[in-house]
Amino acid sequence: MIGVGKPKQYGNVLDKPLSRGRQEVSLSAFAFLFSELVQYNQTQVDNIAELERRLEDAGYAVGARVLELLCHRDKGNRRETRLLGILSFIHSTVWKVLFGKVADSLEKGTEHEDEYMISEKELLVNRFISVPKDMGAFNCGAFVAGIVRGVLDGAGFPAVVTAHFVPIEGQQRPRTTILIKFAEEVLRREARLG
Amino acid sequence: MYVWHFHCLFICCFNMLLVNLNWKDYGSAGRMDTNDSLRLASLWHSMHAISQQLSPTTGCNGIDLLRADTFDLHCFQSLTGTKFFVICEPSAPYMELLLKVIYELYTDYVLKNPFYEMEMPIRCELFDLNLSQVVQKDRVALLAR
Repeated sequence: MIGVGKPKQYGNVLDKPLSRGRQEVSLSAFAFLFSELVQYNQTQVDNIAELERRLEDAGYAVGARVLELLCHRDKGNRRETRLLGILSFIHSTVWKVLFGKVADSLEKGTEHEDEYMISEKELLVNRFISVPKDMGAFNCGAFVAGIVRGVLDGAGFPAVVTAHFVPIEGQQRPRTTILIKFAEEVLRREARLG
Repeated sequence: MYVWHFHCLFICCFNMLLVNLNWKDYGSAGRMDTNDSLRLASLWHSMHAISQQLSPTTGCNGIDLLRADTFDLHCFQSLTGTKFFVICEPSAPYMELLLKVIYELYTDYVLKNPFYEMEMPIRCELFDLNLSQVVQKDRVALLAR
């Protein structure tokens, strides 16, 4: 019969369904690319704070796009309006899509009401990176902090996000914590919503 | 040449273009200082290159194994010409495998590290950590027999 087995032709490219794409990317390829990203930014800046900011900005762009993609593909165009909702979205869905597993833990800060922490034993982006001693507390996880900030900003939860190394007793390598500090307006809105 | 005691394991990697040397001592005896290591590496590098020319068989890529009374020297050359060699007790098994594993660690924790400059001494924490783990595991497995 004519027409059987022929792929459906879409008149408009926007009508094509979003494919899931390749689920897996070579870790080595990503590691080399990320290494080049860090090295390139190192040549453009004078100090470590600038470098961290640049990595965060690079991650921000990724975060904004990931939010759009996942809202459309995985959540059927529903958007999160509650704080815990968006946090668990990041902790599970975003992490699963980006790093292949859910984040190790999501905690609420004990000292301040507006702080939340996502912890990971070792961030994927840091897997092969050893930061030299003279760079102090610099963490390439600033890229991931930027991704989280991008997702939160796009979803309407402005926040300041940073990545920190937290040394753990008995382990040689420190854990990484992504610290999220929400803006005032977010907490006020959350309180109003009850 | 050099006299080594037993239970000596010495791992070295250097590049053909510059005699850039990175070495680690894992032995209980026979520690070497910087100058000695540089001397050793330059000597080995030249010998390796000369042996390629002198070899009676065609397609020779240089010395793989040097056997002496008190030590063995295994050498592995990557496709780019970077050489890794390990000095160990005579007839220590699985050294070839060890060299290949070390090469893998090198490509992972040194070459993918954005803070490592090419041709400089290796100061990567992860590389050192994993290297000592591999060597310790190796030694335990061998002593257990």
